[in-house]
Amino acid sequence: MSAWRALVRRLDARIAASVLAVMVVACLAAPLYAACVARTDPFMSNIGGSFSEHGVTRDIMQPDDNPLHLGLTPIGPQWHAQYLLGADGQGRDVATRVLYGGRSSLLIAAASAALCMLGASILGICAGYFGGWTDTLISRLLDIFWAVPVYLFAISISIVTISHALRIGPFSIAADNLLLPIGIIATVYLPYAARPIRARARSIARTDYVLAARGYGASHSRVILREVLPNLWDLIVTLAPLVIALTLLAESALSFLSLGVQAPAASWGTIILDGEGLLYRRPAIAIAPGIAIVTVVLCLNVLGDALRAVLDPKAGGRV
Amino acid sequence: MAEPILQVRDLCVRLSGRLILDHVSFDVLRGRTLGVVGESGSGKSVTASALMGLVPIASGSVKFGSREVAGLSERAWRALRGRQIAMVFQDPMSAFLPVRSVGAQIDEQIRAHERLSRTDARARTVQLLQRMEVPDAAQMARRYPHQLSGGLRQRAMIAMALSCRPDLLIADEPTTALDVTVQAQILALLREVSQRDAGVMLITHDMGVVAQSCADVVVMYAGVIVERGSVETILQAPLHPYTQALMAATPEIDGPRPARLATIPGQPPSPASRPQGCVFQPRCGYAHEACGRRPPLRSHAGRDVACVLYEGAA
Amino acid sequence: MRSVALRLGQGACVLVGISMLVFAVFFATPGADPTARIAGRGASPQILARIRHDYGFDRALPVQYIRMMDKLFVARDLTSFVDHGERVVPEVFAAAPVTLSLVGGAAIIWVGLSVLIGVVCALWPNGIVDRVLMGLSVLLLSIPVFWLGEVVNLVTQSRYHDTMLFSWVPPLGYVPFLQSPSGWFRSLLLPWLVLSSSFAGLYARVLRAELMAASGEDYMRTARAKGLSPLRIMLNHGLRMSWLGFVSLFGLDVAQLIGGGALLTEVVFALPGVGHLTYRALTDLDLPLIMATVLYSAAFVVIANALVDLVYLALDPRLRTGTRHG
Repeated sequence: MSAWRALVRRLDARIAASVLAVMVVACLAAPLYAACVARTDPFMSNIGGSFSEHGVTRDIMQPDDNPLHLGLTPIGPQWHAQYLLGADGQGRDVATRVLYGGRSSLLIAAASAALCMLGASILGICAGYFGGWTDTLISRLLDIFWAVPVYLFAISISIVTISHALRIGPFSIAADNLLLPIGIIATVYLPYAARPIRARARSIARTDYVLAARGYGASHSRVILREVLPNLWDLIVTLAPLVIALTLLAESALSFLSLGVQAPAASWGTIILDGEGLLYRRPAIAIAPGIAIVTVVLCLNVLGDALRAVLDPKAGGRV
Repeated sequence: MAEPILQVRDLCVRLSGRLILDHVSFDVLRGRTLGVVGESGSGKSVTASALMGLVPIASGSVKFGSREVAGLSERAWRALRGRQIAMVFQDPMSAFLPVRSVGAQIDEQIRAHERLSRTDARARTVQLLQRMEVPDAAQMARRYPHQLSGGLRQRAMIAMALSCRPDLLIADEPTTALDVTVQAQILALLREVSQRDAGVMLITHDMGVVAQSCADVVVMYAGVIVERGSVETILQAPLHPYTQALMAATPEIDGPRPARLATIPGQPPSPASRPQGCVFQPRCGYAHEACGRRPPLRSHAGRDVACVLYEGAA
Repeated sequence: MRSVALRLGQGACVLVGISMLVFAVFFATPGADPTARIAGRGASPQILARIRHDYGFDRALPVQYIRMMDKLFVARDLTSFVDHGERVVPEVFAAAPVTLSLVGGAAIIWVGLSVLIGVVCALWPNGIVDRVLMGLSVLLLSIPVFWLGEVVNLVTQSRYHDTMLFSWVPPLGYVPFLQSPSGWFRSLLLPWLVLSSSFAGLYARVLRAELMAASGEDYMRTARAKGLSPLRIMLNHGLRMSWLGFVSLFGLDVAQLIGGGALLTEVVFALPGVGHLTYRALTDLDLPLIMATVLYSAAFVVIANALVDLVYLALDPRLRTGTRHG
């Protein structure tokens, strides 16, 4: 695997992969952090709670510093294991919630990217390999879907499914099931991933080795599995990080519009939404998950670029 | 003897650490077209690029008239390019920008080097196209490259190259991409240019082209000049084994059809695998011990040849 | 001329198809029945029946569809199911200038910025400037637009609003151009920058890649051999060809944004644009408004595609087959 070795030699790829790994491990360790460090329940409202530091007990919700002391503001970031990033509007530990939110965000992003790549590969290979009317039908449909604003498309499906749950025959998926955002986001990015795969499958289908394999009497499924897929692999690997970056951004946008992950569960998008109301007084709530998103998406994009440079040197960074 | 327009002495070019041109020396004389012949990879095109200042010159001397240009700054080269040395490329379809009219591209070169109004530049463009025997020149100038035939495109290319009255015109395989009937016309045009306008250096892999339109010839192999002299001398009696092989591989137009065209066995060396001694030695039928040493170009029988066979017998 | 007519016909077919699809999906959505919504909570069966009859919900779906299209396009008095009596067409026409202003300004910024970055990077590839600018582009590409908007709001509306730097920033919201041109500009400058950021990053990367790919082409070698300066070569030759890929990308993106894709920016900056309106229509399941906004959006995509084709014709003479003079 010379490509693999070339990838490992690249400093940008090493840094991006390490940062990503740290983020993933930190998010997976969220329950550990909640139980051992922050010692709070990230999903339970804690408005009346207090915490003690150096023997001094302080309320989590502090009176506002307006002259009349009306309203309550959660405490801000503390140099303390608890409430490192402060509390949110319901007195919950923001740092813990960001870690938990990362679990949902990363899970949804990865799962929907996997689903999207799977669907895109099937569609792209069918269209590119078989050509003819199959190709025309699939390509036209993908073109039309790609012309719809991605977020509006996702919002429409979300509203139809999330606000009324989804019932397909005997199966019903509850509104707070993570499968819904996963499926929705995978669907809206299908054209993005399917179109390059189709183009590549099309050129592979016209190569001599595929024609030769067909000439020997190999079946379509055998040719696709033995000849087409192995030659598509590098494209799929290159696309994957970019698709995960897009699905992560889409997830956070949907959740920000409260159409993704449903309360009490959290994702980075919902935490930014939670923080919106307190933006001017406790900006840490909205800023922290945003930085997490930017970090992960940036690493994925850098990794994607590095992969492309290694696997397809001729493209020279062509997007 | 005609005055030299271009004098190249011991020109060396290195690209990514590899020696591509190894002490190349030749002259281009006024009114005499110089042919540079060799297989692909022999360094012909790199020589052209070096003379255009498009690749850095590692060592050696390149003199235009009396001016030394090796080691000029990029800015100075830019003033020279297009103005004193111009170039015509192999495929006029891809060498012209497809989205602008041919005339606009010629105007651009004129206006890059001379302070001229648009109308004056266009007037000169049309005049040039007429001189290149382009019919209906004013109309043609307004067309896009894809709307012209291959021959007209190459004529327009030559017109563009001559637009600033250069001293030297380098034509890199100018007929390879054209139809056979058009090739002869373009070669005739280039002959005329060499007599009337500028010195011409014609790069080709085709001995037939050299025979048709050159007065002098330089035979290159693996970045080295192996034989150099006037066309009559060399075509009548090629001395270097490589020149002989190259000639044998070119069918004669009016001679008997050969049963089998001669080929040169083996592959030309890459810059990385270039032999220490004579560069042609691995493929040469006459190779012997003395070939382990690189023979210098020596005058022999009216031309210069780099081969041990002719050393000492001058 | 015939191709123009053909395009218009195709566009009309697409619009009809989309409107039918929206209509069908709406009535297939569980819980979307507008009757109960119009009647309000706890309405008696008699009232429900009357509303159903008044609004024509008891008729066959094709009839309902034709009636809705008639009200939308011919009578232009289609009213919302949710806000009683609110007419849909004027609402869309009120929202459109906001979105057009937002997207137009942002497009100018991102095209200018990305051309600058792309050309500078392609002039000195793999140098320090190239690396820094390309790094910046990936960063811009990686920032969620709504979060960037919030951070900008935090800085300019709250934290540093009273400093010299940001005291010019007006409160969130839109100021119509005719009311105050300078207010319009000030209210939109930050949304423009925020919306254009990720596009600037993306387009700069695309353009650099296109220019780098072009630099190996024969026509670029010719340009160098003509003795042109690197900048001239880049602008007159490289960019002239790279525009082609750029234009199709640009057309689709702008159409999507004008058609409501700028939703997140509009929400964060409280701009009452089309994206906002579509979002409201969708969350309220308000079919007339959904229909109006979706058709408006689709119309822009159709128009943009036609425009892209026209611009292609203008930029690439090779496509103008049959023309004898340029």
